[in-house]
Amino acid sequence: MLKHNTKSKTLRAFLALTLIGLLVLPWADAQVLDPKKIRFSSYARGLMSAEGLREDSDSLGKAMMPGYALTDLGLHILPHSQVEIHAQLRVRSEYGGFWGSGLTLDLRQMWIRGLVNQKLRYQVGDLDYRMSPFTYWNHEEWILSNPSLLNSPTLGMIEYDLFQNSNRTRRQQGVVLEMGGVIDPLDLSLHASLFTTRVAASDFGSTPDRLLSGGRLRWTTGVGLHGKVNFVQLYDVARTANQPYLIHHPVLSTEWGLAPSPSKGRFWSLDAEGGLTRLGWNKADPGNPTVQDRPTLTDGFGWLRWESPLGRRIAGRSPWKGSLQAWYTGSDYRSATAQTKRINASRSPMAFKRLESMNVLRPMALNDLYRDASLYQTQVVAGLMEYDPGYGNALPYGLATPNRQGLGLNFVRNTDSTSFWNPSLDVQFMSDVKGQGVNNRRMFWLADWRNEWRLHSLLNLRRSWLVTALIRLEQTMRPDASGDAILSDVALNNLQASFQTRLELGSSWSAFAEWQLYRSQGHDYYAVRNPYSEVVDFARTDLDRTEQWIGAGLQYTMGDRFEAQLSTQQFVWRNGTAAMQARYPWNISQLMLIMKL
Amino acid sequence: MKSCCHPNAKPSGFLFTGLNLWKLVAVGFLLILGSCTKDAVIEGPALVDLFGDFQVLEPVKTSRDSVRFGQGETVYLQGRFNKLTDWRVEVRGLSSGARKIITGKSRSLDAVNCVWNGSTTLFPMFRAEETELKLFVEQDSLLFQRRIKVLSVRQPGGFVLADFESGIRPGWQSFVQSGANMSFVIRTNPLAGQGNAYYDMGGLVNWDWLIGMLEFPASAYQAPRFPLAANPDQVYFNALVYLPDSVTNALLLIQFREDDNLDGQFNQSNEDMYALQCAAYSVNGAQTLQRGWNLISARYSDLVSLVNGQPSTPAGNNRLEPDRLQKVSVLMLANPSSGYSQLYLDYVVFTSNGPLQP
Repeated sequence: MLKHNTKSKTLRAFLALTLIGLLVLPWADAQVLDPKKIRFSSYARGLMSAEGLREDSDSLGKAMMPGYALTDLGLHILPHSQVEIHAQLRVRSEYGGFWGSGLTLDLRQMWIRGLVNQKLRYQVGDLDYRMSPFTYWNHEEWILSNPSLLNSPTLGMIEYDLFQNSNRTRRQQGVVLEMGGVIDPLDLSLHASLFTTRVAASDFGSTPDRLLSGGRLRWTTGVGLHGKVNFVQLYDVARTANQPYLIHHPVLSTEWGLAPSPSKGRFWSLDAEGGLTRLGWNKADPGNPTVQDRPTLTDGFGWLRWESPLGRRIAGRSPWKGSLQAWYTGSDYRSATAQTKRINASRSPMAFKRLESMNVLRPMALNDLYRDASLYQTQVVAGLMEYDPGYGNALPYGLATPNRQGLGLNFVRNTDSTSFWNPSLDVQFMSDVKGQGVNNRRMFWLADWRNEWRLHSLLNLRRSWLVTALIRLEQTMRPDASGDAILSDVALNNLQASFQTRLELGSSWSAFAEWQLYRSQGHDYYAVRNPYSEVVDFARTDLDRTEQWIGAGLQYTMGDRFEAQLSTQQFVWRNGTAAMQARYPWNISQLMLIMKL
Repeated sequence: MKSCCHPNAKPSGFLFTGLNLWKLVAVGFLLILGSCTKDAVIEGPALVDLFGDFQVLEPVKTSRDSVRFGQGETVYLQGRFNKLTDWRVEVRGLSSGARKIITGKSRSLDAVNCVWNGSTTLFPMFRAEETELKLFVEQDSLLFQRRIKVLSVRQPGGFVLADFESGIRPGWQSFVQSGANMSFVIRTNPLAGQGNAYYDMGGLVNWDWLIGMLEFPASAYQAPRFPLAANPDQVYFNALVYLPDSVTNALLLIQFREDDNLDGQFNQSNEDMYALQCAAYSVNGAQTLQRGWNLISARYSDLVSLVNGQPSTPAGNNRLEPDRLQKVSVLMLANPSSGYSQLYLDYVVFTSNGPLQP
């Protein structure tokens, strides 16, 4: 026994020394590291708001004054000229905590990246990746893609927090390898990337390890012809759970593009993509006859776009740019990494959770989408997520929406700071490929018109004065099928209109005001899907919803490193369907500061 | 026509030399839009099936007004609806009270999905009698009603041990305790599960579990063993058992004695005896009887050897051999302290390849 104790103590001492050594060594290394090889980055913001929501039936209403301050501390270490290690810590303090009780500390992101032999680039840890809009793409939600002076800052905070950037990449965790080269005799440039990420971790029970792997080969020739081959596959790893089925979801596409050099007088470009998808659940044990086969969905997609400058060129530049695109997605086209939505329509908002007069959960409103990060989806989902037809019915999954065939026409006036206006027009028409429950197919119209007037140019003012107007219309239609025993018509209109103005008061100060209206009215039959993404039912959805903002504020900026905004606004939500008749104004006054270093 | 090889031709610089690019673009757009007319099928269930009002497109009618099930005739409904419809057909024997229920979900009724072959869902079984047929659609709305005359009943098939229509068969053996109110007799009245007669087993015996029994030896059918298939998976034992409303203590034990050594005798010490139980109360391994007539069906290969109600190893070759079955015994039991007990027995039959379809 004594001998055993002695051995045990020795072992513990050895382990302790080893642990101390492991802890101290990196620190010691850091101490001797060249300070130039350590770089810091930082982001900080603070927000304080006073909010009050009052239902029509509630004379007093409810109020709250939430707020927080947070900072992201990023550390970049370059232990070698071709290796970079990055870690970012987030410290967040929720107002109302007591002596740090509301304080949280998280490791927000971490990665290691580098170059091997000047040829192979790698990144391990957190990584952002994208391919094409049909294969691997983080589509922006239609309802949130308009500019808003009042709400863009808070929406930007959510996008920053959830790594949803304008590059449409998806944040994953895993490893990516990239390599490239040029084949001189053919004037052919090649670039390849391969990745594997882990979407879900096994619990050795009902959840298997789910991985996402794939790659992309990009080639470019000297004559303006380029192309890509994209492959991505979502799959479960066998024997990591007691699941009878394992998901197998490959997506393959090829892209082709032609963009002749402008120096040869050709300014247009032509791009196309086509591919195939499969979503199936394979038996974990193929020899087990008691496990039934599950459905497999296979389909294809295609896309073609022509883009060109329009109008007479002045100083080598055309004032307008136009594009025409056509696309087709089969009804069984599934692409998890392109169809996972940002908004998770099945969630409920965190603020003012219930409509007390009706004793029901308060439905998600646009104001929540601009403020509540918990309403967003970050993990890739197999199959099609639920969506709110009022917040985008034509393309709820962006261009990756299945069962669509469409034509799109886009005109944009190139930004010209001397011009007093900057308009753009985007019109898209599409229809179902397969009728939803009837032979008649739905037709969709999407129109987006926006313009910015630079009144200072028109009025010869010293300070900038911008006025922006925007109208977006989404229309879903389906005529009643003659001879049917029911009225199968569909008519759903979503309208968004806004009017914004910004007046520069000084070199750093500006004042702004905004009015925005969002209206959804009509009905559609919403497809209810089973766990295997097949349509098994239709739920008639009636919408009569109006959401409106009016507000104004002051903004102070210092370069692009510091921004402070004080604003006040009223958001009014009204629902008039038979199932829910409610209305509430939601007043918000807020102060926010954002700093980047 | 300008050739691409003309010395003055501008170098096109891309792979589609000689082709008109704009035609190519147009063809591409047309190819994508060409899919507009590709599919005529719909995705998901038809809306009319989910939301449409019910309409009868073709009036419902029966294939006949009188039927001889005994000669293989059937009755079916014909009709057509505008949508996928949940429907239920109920046939009730006006003198027996027997009921047949057929349910389905379809756009039409026909000889495939809505046919009655004379079988029974709720006992007693149909007799030669007048029946009333009702068709309900869309949550119990009566759509159609007609009387059908059954001229001859269906013969379910199988080897019938007893239907009690002709009294006690010579060769059957019975034992009845000398208790109170003993009633081991055949009764003829409309309550019969099949035909007009059934066997009434009842009495009060306060010193023994056994109240009485009736045995069916193969010799009563002029054979050393019952004419059954050798494969126990293909042979099913069936009986109709009636539990009166007031009885809660009845236990029916059915024993199957095999002549393993084919000597014409059953020897308890070295031959197999298997058993099947059913009871008015919950007993481990026994089917629990409901009030009224119950169909007891058991595959021969599912029979077990029991000693005092507990599973045991058979005394013989431990093989289930229906072709060596020599005697079937039906024992009426009850806890001696539980008072009077009673059960009715009718239509004891062996069937092949499946349970009795009454």
